[in-house]
Amino acid sequence: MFELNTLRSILTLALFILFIAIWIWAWSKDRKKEFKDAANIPFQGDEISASLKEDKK
Amino acid sequence: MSTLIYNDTVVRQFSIMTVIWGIVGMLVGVIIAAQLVWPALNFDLPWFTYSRLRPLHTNAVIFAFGGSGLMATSLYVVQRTCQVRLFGNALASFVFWGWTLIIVFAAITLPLGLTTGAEYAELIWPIDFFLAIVWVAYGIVFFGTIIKRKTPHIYVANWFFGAFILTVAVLHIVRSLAIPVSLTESYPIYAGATDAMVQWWYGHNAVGFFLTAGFLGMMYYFVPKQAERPIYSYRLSIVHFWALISIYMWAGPHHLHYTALPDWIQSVGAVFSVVLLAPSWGGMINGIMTLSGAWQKLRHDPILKFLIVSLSFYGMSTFEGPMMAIKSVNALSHYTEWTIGHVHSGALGWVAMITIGSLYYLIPKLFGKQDMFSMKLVETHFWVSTIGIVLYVASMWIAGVMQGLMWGAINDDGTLTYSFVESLLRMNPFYLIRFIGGSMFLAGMFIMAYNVFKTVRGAEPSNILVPQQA
Repeated sequence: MFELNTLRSILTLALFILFIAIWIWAWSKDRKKEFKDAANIPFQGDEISASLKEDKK
Repeated sequence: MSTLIYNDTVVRQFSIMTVIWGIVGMLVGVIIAAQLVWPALNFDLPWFTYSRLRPLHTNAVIFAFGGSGLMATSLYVVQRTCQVRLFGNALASFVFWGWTLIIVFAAITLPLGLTTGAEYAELIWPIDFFLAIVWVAYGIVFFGTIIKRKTPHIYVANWFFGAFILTVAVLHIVRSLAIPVSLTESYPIYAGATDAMVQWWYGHNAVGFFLTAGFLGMMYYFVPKQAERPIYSYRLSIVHFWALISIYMWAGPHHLHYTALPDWIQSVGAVFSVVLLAPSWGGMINGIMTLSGAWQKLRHDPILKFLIVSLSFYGMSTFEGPMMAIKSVNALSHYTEWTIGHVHSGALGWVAMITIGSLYYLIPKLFGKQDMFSMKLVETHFWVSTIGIVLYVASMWIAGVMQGLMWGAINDDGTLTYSFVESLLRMNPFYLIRFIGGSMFLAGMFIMAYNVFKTVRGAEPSNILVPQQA
């Protein structure tokens, strides 16, 4: 019969499938370039001091 | 002009306070470790007893030291990875002064014995209430900055920091729900086993989101920066992020094995704790492998040593934790010093080491310096604290296993082989080794404080320009 425990089992199964889906999504070739760019975010933009810049002008 | 430079004022404030609160919190820890070796050190003063100082120690190291470190780094990282100035100038200042005020309140109320009695949630309700307001303000500053970001992608460090901020708000508010009866007293809205379950749902997620997710956010920025190479696998970071945050939520019941908590909930807690090994190691591998092909950097760079050794301790304690959550192992380890050893392997080895490494990277940059005053002293700090942790953790392992075996030993006629006091006497030499290990770690913090003082003395704030899009 359809009872609360059945719903719980379905939810558990759905979450498990969602996890596998995230895995497939993250490992797909389409993500490769996007993730490469994302991994380089900490390295964009030089740390330029405001006072130093004014000195140059 | 003010919108053109990063708001590093709040980052500088939190960074300096992290070092100061680290010394305060660890000093209290060393005092209570000494009291366990020499009980006369209580001096018969009620506010100086172990029972009053222990919550002061945990609150000071977790929320004052760890919290300030997380706020400093998260507010720095979110600006750099979003390429915008921090959202809300006055609000950011409010977060710093509010958080500092809460720590001062805690340092006054806890030694006075004003407590709710809930572990890691000891603060009385008026402070809890104020803490909720400050925390929401912190969330607004952080997520406000994410919203106005100039980068299309939200960098993974911000996902971890975001999960930490959001979850801690939920945990703190749900755990602190209480009915006040006076200015200093209140009763929780939960009763009996439900209260215990809420307590360890809170308590373990404080470990999972405050002491893990937040510091993983730190790791995902400062390890790549210091190693000068991007994170080993970005896609692994995504999968282990979602696995980590969804599994941690259910692991709390392992704190209540063999109690009045329903048996099936204990089993659920144990199973989720064991599964947690996978996403935890996902993070550890991702951090350590970032150095793949550049291992020689470890030999010359003490900051990198701090960061990578912290990840090794993270790996060790997230292996040990799931093992201890298995009910049959827990039957030996629960209520013994082994738990204290496990906690400090995580707290000193992982949390403190990653924070110290990140601060050594951060502090010179915030004050317009190339490097710390002395890299030699950073190296000394690294070795003193590493040896200190090893002494601490190894002594507590031995003490804990011995304690567990002595408590469980039974004579042929079913009576206990050892009295409690007999097991306590055997602890004494290990308590002394722990005291020495803890003192060494504290000594390392004093070395750091001196080094930081010499670095920032007379230095000007760096005022870094926000890059403008062409």
